[in-house]
Amino acid sequence: MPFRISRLGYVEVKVLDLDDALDFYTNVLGLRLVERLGNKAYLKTWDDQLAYSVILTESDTAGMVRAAFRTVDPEDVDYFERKLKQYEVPYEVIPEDYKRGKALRFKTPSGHTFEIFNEIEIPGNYLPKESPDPWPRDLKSDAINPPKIDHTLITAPDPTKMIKFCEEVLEFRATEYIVNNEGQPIAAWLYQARQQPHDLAIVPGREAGMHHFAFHISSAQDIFRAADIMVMNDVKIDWGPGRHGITRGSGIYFFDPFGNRIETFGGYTAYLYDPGAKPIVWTEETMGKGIFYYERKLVETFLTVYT
Amino acid sequence: MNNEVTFKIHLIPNGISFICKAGETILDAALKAGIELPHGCTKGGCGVCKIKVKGKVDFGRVSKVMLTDQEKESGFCLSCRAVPLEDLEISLIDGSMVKVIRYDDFYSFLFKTRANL
Ligand code: FES
Ligand SMILES: [Fe+2]
Repeated sequence: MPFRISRLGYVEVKVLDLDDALDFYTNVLGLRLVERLGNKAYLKTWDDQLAYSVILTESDTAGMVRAAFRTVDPEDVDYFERKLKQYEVPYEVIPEDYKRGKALRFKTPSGHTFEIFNEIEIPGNYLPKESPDPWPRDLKSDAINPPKIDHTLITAPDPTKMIKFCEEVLEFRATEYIVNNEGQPIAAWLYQARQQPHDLAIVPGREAGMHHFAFHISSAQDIFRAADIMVMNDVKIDWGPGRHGITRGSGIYFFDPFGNRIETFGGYTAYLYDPGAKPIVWTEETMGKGIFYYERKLVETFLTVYT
Repeated sequence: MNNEVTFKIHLIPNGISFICKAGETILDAALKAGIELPHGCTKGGCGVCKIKVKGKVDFGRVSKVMLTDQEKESGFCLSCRAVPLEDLEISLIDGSMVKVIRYDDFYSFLFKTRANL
């Protein structure tokens, strides 16, 4: 079966104050502002090819508004429209949005709003198309500057059902699961065409909860640099720099000024997943090490703190 | 010197009090005093730090889902954002004892500065 989704395209996240949010997201995190329109701001990382990867929306709560996945080909949107019909998932066709064409919008069994789209403006990254250097020279020297958006981890009241939905309807494939004593997956790390550890992960929790969204950072050394910048700016670090057993990735969990958890994630070695390879399984006994490899146990806040 | 405005926060059922500087959040003051109030994001977004409070506070910038207007009126606040405006009495929502780290037991031979307990 071919991959029909390429990767996580963008997330829309609620913030309590857009001015303060932009200060943090551009000056500390180092995203670039594409445009501010009313109560929304569109941002992208320096290596994003697509028009934007993060939308901030001023609201009276924190948390996720929607996560959008981009298909490989334009026809794949029609393919998923047929699949949503087949599985009787109610959906809306959104003809267009900011710098973007048609999208299918639907609610998942976990209560999240997902979109599937293909058409979007592709202005390219912040490097020339011809003979580029490896990174732009005008990166802010004291910002984190992650090159790409990577994945999101969301919470589901019935994670087993949500995992099945993502696998059957959206054709995600699992790299890793945590299974309960009955052998049912209660958490999953799911990937698409990029064949990296994950584009989407699911853990048990509240309906429509966002545990975090993540940016890719290539090396563990850069992750330590990111941690330095967080401390310089008095950013609340939740965990790390550390390593996950699951995905082998190194990361830091930290909070934006409104309590949305963000991760800088990467530094995993040799994790190109071969389609058809068997997923890795963690159990209730080993999941502590799976989530926080060095600590070897879950902290309570991993399961209770999210927006 | 030392005439800055402070408020006294009384923690029940522990029956101990600690000092909070004007403009400082309840959570910051508690943690400085070794009082381990539950907390997560520290930014008013996750609701994990919700406590009961008697007395006037500035609730700060908080998520309306995690602290509703009704909860504000009925004596709840998010400790990571709430700033006292007068002396307060606080407790956990389930009324249980709060873990207190007595820094003075293992710390004060190095630093004799934890005087705010
Ligand atoms: S710690 Fe998250 S709201 Fe206070
Ligand atoms: Fe993650």
